[in-house]
Amino acid sequence: MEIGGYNFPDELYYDPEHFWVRVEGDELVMGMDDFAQNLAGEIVYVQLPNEGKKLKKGKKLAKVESGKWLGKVLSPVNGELIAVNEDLELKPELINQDCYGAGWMYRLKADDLGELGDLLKGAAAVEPWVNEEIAKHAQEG
Amino acid sequence: MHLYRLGRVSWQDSQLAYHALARLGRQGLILCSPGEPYVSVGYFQDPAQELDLEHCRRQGLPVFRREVGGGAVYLDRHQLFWQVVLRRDHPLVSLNREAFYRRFLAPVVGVYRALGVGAGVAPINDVAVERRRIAGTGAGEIGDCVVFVGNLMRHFDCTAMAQALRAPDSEFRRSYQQYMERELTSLRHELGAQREAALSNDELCGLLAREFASVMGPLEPHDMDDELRRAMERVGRRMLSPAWTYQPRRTRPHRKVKVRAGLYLHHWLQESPQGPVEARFTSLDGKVLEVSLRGPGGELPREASEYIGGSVGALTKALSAMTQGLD
Repeated sequence: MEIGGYNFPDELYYDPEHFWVRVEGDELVMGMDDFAQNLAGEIVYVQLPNEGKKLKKGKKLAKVESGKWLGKVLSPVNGELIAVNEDLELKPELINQDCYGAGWMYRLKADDLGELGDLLKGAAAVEPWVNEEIAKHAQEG
Repeated sequence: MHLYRLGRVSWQDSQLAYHALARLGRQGLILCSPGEPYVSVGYFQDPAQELDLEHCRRQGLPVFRREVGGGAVYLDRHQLFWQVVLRRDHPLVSLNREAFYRRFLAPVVGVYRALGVGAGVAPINDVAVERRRIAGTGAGEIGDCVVFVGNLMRHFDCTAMAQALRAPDSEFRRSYQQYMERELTSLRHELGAQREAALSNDELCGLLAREFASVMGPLEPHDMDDELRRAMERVGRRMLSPAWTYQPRRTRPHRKVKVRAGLYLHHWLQESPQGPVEARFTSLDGKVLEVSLRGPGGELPREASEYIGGSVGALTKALSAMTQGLD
């Protein structure tokens, strides 16, 4: 779905911290959503932690830098990091170019896929949230 | 919110204080100046790739890797640091970086203007006087806080900065220094040495506190307390260790050094089976200004001038294609 000019694919789950999550079998793939990559500007560095890192929901998974801003990527679930997108080491701008495709960031194994229920999914949940975010940031701009 | 006017502090404390405050989740504004010169690199930077570490060692210049974005910078007592620490859920903290920077650079611009210097915000997060940069800044999310740090530039030592930076050769270093001298300015340069010297740090801190209070709300003077000192010791044990500072990163074929907002010096070097392909170029707002190319056996077949005015992306893509063509 397109909301206020930003792309939010219907089939994905969204974390209010502006990361998307896709279910692939019993694994999860995550990345930055279109709204966040737009506001962040050119992504210049992405931290790629070692596979096997234990993840705690809502806690720091990695760091990402854009516009001299060192931001955090928070884990959407409890679990384990099982793979990273190595292409981002030398081409972090892939996040800006294709945030839902070539710019994916991490592959995770969730302890409990039921935790996905805490994320946003479907137009009824995603649209009001994105509209609110757009309004909030428009006021600041 | 608290105001910490720390005055002249050790180089370590000039960095540890805001990291510790953020780790404690305490909001405030820190104003301080380092007693000794040092070099600070961004979180993602590898000092071995960014700095001439042998020069730094010879000069006794310590190196610090901060938990904040941006690039390598030479810091000394001629720079007055301002360090804003806010909780991530503070209403003034925004995902809209540009709006955040504009809001929190306004006080810095205000101080320069109060001193008669016509400064303005140069997007995304520089302060400039007619395009000449007069402040360095960086931001980072630390613990449950966001920090935004920068300096009020009394004077900037371009020679010391150029010498501390790792350069492929003396030509690159000379060029970098020349650009810095042309594109950076300071209170000393704008007001004259006599007027700059007459300004005390105390006076400048007063102006900064007043201007930041207009954005952050009332600032209540606060001393460095035991809790903060203990947190600084804890943070220091980690951040002053060689393991933290010298964390290696994968070498990038494309080295890019910022002079000011939008203006970069580039050095691109990649091996081909026939030898290295090398390009040096400057870019302004993503467009190539000047370029020189060298390849195995001298000049490459393509005219370097054909890339002038084109995008940096197009040039680096062409360079990669050239390298592959030399297989």
